[in-house]
Amino acid sequence: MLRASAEALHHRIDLRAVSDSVADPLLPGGRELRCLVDAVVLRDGEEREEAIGPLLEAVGVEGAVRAAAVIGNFEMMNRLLDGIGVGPFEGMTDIAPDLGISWPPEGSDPFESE
Amino acid sequence: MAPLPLAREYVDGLNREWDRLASAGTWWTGAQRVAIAAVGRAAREGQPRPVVDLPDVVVTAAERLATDPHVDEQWVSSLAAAGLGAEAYVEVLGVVARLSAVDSFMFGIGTGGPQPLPEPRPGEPSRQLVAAAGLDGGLVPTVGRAFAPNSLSAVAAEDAALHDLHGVLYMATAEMSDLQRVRGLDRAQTEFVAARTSLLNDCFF
Repeated sequence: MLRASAEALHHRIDLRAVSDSVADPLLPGGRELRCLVDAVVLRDGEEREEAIGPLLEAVGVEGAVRAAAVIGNFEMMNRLLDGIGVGPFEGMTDIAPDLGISWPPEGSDPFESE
Repeated sequence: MAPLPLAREYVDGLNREWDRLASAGTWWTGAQRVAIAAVGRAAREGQPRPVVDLPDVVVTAAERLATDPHVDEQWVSSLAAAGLGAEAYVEVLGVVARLSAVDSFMFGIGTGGPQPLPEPRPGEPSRQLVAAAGLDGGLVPTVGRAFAPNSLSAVAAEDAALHDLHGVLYMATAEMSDLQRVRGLDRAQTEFVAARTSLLNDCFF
């Protein structure tokens, strides 16, 4: 979905920036958005305070509020998916290299059925 | 820095969620739902477990779902053996998951701390079953193949609550195909935030 939406909007994007905290996402406000995500998910108040100023400059108040809302939504959706025991979708193997993550995790087969 | 100001649609959506949390659900009373939320929040925030009037198995479920929701069949079966049936578990999951959304949103806008939980309202659980729900790829019954959007579909009121809050914080299902829509952020920025959040949660949604 991320790649499709970036292409639809003619944005350049480096998907590795999803997993690599140093990589530039190339999206407008991408680095600043990533800093807020990290602060909120990890519940780091100091990091949140450091993140919010640059984020407001990059995307404005409405954009910053929207970012917080989307983080909240995916905190919920992630928990729901895990809480009903549904693992990664099978297409993960194809997109993992673009995201810069190792898949499947070493020593495991996430699609193995018992 | 003061909290970021919220547009009306967010305030209204959060008020609806608080109303639901305080009211009797399908398997739990309003007091039990607020207690489940309190236990989940305390676990998520690393605070001491609050004193609540809940069965131990419900406390166990709420704490696990708030902190480490990567569950397996054995664990869910152990809850059932201890008296927490699948539909009642689904409601616990819904309460904990939506609270995590609200608390994360509030933290993100800079409220400085979570909002006080609502006062419970009187009322009895409806105990309404969803006849169409069955096991289909998940550990609990769902209507259709198990995935996040229908994760709570075995409990109709929880399913409706999920879709309401999802529409407020992210987008309504009907809006998903419109990649040009801008709501504070454009769609690529929105999906980048979603992807990073999921990555940090070890959830590949």
